[in-house]
Amino acid sequence: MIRIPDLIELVQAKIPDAEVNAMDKTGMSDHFIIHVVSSEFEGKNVMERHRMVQGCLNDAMKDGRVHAAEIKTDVPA
Amino acid sequence: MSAIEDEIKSEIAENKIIIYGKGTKSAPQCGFTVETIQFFNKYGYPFEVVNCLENMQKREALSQMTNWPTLPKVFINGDFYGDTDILDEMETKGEVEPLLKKAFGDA
Repeated sequence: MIRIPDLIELVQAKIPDAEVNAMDKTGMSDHFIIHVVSSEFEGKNVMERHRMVQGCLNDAMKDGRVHAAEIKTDVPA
Repeated sequence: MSAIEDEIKSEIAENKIIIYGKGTKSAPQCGFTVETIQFFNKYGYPFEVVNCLENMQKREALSQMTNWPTLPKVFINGDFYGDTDILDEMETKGEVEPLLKKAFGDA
């Protein structure tokens, strides 16, 4: 269980300019769709981008606050 | 290198597209595994599904090898591509078709 503002903070802690919107997919506050937009993704392929976001969630995944995250990444338009 | 890692390496080498997931191709046990099967069904290339549901040892080895916590795990032509989160995004950027064509040698 994690509140969405805390989840967003987890991402922004490691990707400061990230624009994050997260949606609770199941209503159980542990399975999220997370859309992250950041200029730090420029020049990085999809796998590298996802690994960056996963890196932010590692601890929360390990201690169960986040069970599953469907990640979508993008660069600022 | 443990036996389980050897087994995984040979599976990856023998199958151009391999999905490590929960359940089998005919009886997938998890929505994400179903999604991944459907993803590759669209392209019509042959692929293999390895059931890791009751095989914690294989799941652990895979997570170590890829530093990726979740299933399904997809390998194409020996390289790791995560799951449909990644493949969907790659698809919208037109990166999947050429990758599969190259893997199956009809580029």
